[in-house]
Amino acid sequence: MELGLILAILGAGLAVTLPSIGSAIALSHVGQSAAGLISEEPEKFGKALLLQVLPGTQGIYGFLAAVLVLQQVGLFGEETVTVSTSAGWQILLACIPIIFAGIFSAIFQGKVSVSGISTLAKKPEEAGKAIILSAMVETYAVIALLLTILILNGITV
Amino acid sequence: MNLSAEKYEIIALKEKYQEILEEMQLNGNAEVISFETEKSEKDEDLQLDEKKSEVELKLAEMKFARSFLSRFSEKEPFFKTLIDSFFPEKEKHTLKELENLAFSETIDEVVDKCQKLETGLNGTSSKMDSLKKEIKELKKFSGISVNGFGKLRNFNIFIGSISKEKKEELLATLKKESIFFFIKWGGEEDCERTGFYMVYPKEEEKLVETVKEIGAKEETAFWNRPPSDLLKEKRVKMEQLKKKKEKFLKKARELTTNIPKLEALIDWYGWELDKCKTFEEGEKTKSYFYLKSWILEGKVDELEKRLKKITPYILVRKLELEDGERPPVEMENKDLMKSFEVVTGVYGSPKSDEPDPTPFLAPFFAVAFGLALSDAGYGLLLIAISYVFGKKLKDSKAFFNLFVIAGIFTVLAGLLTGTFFGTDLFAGLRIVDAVDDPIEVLYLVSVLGLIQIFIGLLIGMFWNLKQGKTKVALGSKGGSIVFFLGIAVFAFTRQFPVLIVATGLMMLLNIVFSEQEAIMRRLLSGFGSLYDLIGYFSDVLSYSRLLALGLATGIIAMTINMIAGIFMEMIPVAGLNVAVAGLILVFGHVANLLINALSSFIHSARLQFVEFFSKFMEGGGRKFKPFSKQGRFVEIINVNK
Repeated sequence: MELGLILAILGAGLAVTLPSIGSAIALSHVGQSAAGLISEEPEKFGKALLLQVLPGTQGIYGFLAAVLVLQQVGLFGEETVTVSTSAGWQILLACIPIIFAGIFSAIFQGKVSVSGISTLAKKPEEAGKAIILSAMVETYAVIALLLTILILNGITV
Repeated sequence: MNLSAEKYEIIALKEKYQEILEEMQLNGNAEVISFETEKSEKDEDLQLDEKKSEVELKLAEMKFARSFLSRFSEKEPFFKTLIDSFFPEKEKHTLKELENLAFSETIDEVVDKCQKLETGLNGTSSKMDSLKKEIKELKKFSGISVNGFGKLRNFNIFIGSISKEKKEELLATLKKESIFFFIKWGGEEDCERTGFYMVYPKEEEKLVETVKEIGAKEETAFWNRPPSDLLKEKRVKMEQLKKKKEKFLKKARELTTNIPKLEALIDWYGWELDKCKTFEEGEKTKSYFYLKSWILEGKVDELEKRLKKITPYILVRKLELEDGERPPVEMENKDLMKSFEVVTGVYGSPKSDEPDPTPFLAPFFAVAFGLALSDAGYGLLLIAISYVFGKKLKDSKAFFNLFVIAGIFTVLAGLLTGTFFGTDLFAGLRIVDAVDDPIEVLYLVSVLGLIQIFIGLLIGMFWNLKQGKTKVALGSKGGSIVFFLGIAVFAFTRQFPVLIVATGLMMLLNIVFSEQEAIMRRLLSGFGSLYDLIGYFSDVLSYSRLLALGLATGIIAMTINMIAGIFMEMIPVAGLNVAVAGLILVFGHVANLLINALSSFIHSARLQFVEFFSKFMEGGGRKFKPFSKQGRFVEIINVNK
């Protein structure tokens, strides 16, 4: 296997792995505090679940970037495209924004969601605001994903 | 539309307070302002106190009966409970029905039965617990047929228990140490420990030490008849108690049909308590009582007319606002626009002197949502799901209508990008290809952002003019508007100098209409307006999230189709491969729709709150909380008699 393809696969792998780790950490933190709330007020499960899944999006964004990479190097098709070393490096670097913004924004979004759980406990009618506050952090994962997509789009293999 | 409240005082005959407060609750257009002054002891009203305690007692009884009975109600399916937690439906009752219920004797009987059942159940359960312990003890000694143990001249008796595994070890050790002992074992098969008594010569006390060392525990002979007989009796008693408990449980389950009635009455007595508290808080003279309240603008005449029907001795008079006092606000929109209040509601109410942003955000929110989801198939599915739920859950109809509208825009955006459940089925209708040419979509969403911010600035300018803030309207807002017009001209002419002229004009307007007096400060505010441009730039860039979200939906949909295709080819059994692929398609697409619809809602709402609202409002107004008959469990229908 030539180095170009290896680098591209490395990019795709990291794009899924790191943001997914971030999402998993965040979801576990929110889940723990949500479980505490549910033990007292099980009827708030639905809204707590909503707050919990919010930082899960980064994992999906990472997956999305990986799918785009795999599509570009032809791993989904019948024939594999020959990826030059330079193109491989370009693809790996294109994945950098979503890899780092993904993992960190997920963890920090999780922190806001954990606080959102206490809003849900004390003032359930204001849960919508807690959800928006948590989504504000996600903005930067969205921007990073956008950049990754735009760069990938510009690379010719 | 934003309805602001006005401050009024109401002075009325004290003897009519019940009817007046009842009418105000039914009307629901006033919010009572509580007095902050402490009540002195002479204000105590024995009659009111008695009434209040009576209502509180009733409320507590209803709450107790509801919480007691809800322990026995049938568990509802998980999905229904989940839906209920998001979209609770209220029972519909007329006022007459509720009154009949409140004064019916049957509900008192239900409460009475609940109290008796609770006492009965608690008593039976505690008896069963202690019986269970006794049975556990007796089981260890079952098979021992002595009534009790007396004293012997030359022998001692040791009563104890040991774990079953150590029984053989105990016997072997004893046999090694002495031949003068007798041991009798008890215990049923399923006992962890088995009981025994051992008779041994007085001089061989060391045998007890040996037994204890092996792990035996000394027990007391608490029985006065053979344990087996006692055990039989206790077991019969246990069966009787179980039957008794089952009877109680059956009765409790039968009573659970009364839960809706109890819930209705919890609301009813809640309203009664509200009235008592409102009257208690109001100022009173010997014959009159005095209330201050916020009444929604335009609604006072109707309320006054209705109150005057109760007594002509009533005064409703408008009060001036105190310095810095801000009245609460209520948003009032009709038909489809009402649905968009859901979005504004997440942000909170505007201030009383600010516009209701709902009608302005409606088209932009719908378009942004459509672009963020941008799949015609998902749009159709969203419309279908929202329509069915809206029909079923009437109290949340406005919410689901919002998603029907959002779904229509999703279909349109899906046709624009030519995607249908991630396939190219409508590729012929495609105008822009988001996957192959994302830059084109980036332009599109940026134009949407520019238009929305421009409209936001126009609303801001209009509102500032209305509030008399002419300088802000013409300087800051007017300047920015000129700049945006400059961008529009530049987009068509591609003449760079247009942008320079527009920027110059913007600075000029900021200098001319600056609120500062000193010339240097005016100049500074002119240059400061350049800083606003960076803000607008980042605002417009923020709309690029719509492209990313749209791509996310589309590409994941494509991946789901691809995975289904791989399974279709991989599984060699005909029929099974179609079933597996079908399942992947259904679950995959529904999950993708739910996750991305949530993202689309949140991010489209954020664009309104952060990028749009900031151009014309601050928000932070207090929502009008009417003194009304709005219940947690019931909704009164046909209020107007």
